[in-house]
Amino acid sequence: MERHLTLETLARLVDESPDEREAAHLDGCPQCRRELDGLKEQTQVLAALPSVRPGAAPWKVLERRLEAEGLVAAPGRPTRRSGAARKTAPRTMAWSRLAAGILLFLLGAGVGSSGLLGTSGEGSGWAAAGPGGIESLLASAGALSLAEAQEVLATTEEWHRLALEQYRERVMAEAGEADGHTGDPHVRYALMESLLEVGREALWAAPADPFLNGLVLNVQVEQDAARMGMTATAPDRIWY
Amino acid sequence: MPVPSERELIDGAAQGDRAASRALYERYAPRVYAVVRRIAGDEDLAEDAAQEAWIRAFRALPGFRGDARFSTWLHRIAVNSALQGLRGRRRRSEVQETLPDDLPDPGDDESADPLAARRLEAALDRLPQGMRTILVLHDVEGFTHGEIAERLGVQPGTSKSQLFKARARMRLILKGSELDLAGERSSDRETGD
Repeated sequence: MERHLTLETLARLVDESPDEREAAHLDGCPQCRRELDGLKEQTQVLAALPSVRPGAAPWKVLERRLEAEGLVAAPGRPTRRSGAARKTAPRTMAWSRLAAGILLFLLGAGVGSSGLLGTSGEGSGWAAAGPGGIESLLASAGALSLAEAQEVLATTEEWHRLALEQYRERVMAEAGEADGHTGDPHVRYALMESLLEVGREALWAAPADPFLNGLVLNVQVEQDAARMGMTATAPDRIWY
Repeated sequence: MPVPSERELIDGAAQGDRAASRALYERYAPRVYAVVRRIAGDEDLAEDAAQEAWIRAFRALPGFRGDARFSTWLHRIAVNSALQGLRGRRRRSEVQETLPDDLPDPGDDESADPLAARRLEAALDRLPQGMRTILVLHDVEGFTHGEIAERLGVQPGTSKSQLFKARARMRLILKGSELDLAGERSSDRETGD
């Protein structure tokens, strides 16, 4: 007597067509057909499982965390600041002097004239000057106090974010984002991958940074969308 | 007073508006919790992963551009949070030797439906972690094997083979007589595959 098909084989046949031998067996074996029907029904019900309510009072717990991170406004306080608001926040004189110096350095190095941090950075004064220019600038500012050093750190973080924002905008534009998803999904996917790589590298340095986390998550989602666009156009989408 | 649109809620929450944030949460909390709960396999990890997903989502909200549907965007965040929660959890025995107390006996189900949703949920918790993750991502959440492979760092073929094992294990669990059927399979269902 021919042996029954294993459950794993039958589980595969939920998605795939049986080969000749498997089909012949199924034709003559009501037990295996019953098992296969059961597996198909199980898969259908899994796909339609309803949502599940979270446990008790989870919003209150979440709300406290959101408040602690400044992601929702505490009662009586203004809402969280936008990126633009952060950029115009008041700074000390020490910061202002150094920020002005860095800005002049960047503009003088040609970044401003070629568009801030061009897509590839090739040929920009910024890339050519390297970190040595900034080091010189910092050295010329003399010994910094703790507060001033913190200001410099905050400034460079701000610049880093700004640079990433600019980079993201350029990549998105290149990917056809600005034209309403008319770009080739393969190109979009590759560009998202490059952006993801930059974002992940930055996250190594600042894993808790909300901006960087947001950037990486958003790019992941956009890359997923690009991947779906790729598979939707592929003739062998359901390959398994 | 008109009900705010989803876009208005998103914009409001991105600005830190408490009411908009809560409205978004209330609207999508069941969906977020469902996916993390099924991947996590237990309540504690699910609660943590769901919280983490929401925190990440609110952090990222100012950058949400509306290219994808909000529900899709949030769903991806939830899946990633659940998977990261699993990775961070201390390794533990994957195979439980006894059925959990809340797994109904197949004969006790008043609906007489062996595939009732609550039995499926309980059976999912009985699966080894790796199988459960792949089964949930593929059969419940609709990910392709390529997407699963990328997220879990495995080959697509591994995702497929684990899926088939998971479906088979689920079938055995749902039939409520795993050991007997395993014996039957070893003696009666052998194949030359």
